[in-house]
Amino acid sequence: MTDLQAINLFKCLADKSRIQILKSLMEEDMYVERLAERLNLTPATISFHLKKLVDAGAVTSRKEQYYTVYAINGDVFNVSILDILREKSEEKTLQDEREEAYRKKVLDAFFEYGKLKSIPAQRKKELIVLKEIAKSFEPGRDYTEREVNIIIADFHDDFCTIRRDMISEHILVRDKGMYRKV
Amino acid sequence: MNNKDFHGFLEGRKQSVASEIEALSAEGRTDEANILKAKFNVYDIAKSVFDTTVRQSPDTVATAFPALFSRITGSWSAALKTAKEHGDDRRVLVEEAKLSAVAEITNRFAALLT
Repeated sequence: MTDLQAINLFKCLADKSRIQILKSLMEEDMYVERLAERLNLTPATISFHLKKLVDAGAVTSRKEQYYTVYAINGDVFNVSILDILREKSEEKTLQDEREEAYRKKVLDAFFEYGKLKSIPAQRKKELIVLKEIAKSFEPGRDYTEREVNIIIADFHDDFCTIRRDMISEHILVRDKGMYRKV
Repeated sequence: MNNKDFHGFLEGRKQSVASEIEALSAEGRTDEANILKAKFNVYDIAKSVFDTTVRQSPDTVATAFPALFSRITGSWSAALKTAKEHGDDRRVLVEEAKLSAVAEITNRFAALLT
């Protein structure tokens, strides 16, 4: 478990409702409505907490007929806290984690449900956003300008600015009127 | 309609939700407490809108307040729908909390008019 994973897990566990959900799941695997009934919380509240628990790796989910059933992830809880503390934190890993956390923060701030809310003014942030948009381009494939515009327009109406910025940041390369992801 | 009654209702609900937030925080239910803060803010918004309406159009408060308030809150149902479509559980809870406050406020306002 990396430091970031451990922090996310501990943060996630620091909530009474989530602890109660985990205690219920210790008894048996359950679906949202059953947990909601037991804990006297709304199904939406339970879903919200379960998503956090799943994201932190504390709980797993599986489909069973019409229901999604949730279970404790034994692998995570069988690791002792001392084992987590004994793990060495490599500087490279820490650096990667910091960068990934920053990237996620920027994407969360500028994207909403897959749409770009605004083009970041700060270059470092714009670069992160442009690279995210570039994931929609297949590597090694040539695109016409119209195709490029259509792909970018799925994210933001100002596809001209974004297309030009992707060229100037060397994310896309333009050659004889055709575009290609670098 | 007695303006003080409506003010008293909004202030009372604000205090009541503030107590709920405090209780949830004390119990260690921080996320649920934070979500409820969105509901708390709606009473504040309603108070500001009501005060503005009383100041600007004192003779037509009965129609002006609902019109102005719904202009602000009108998009929240759409936001809830979008959040549900995208499985954004946190946003769903926030929008539901806000809309429950809106329903309380509009119902009480209508009741005070009759």
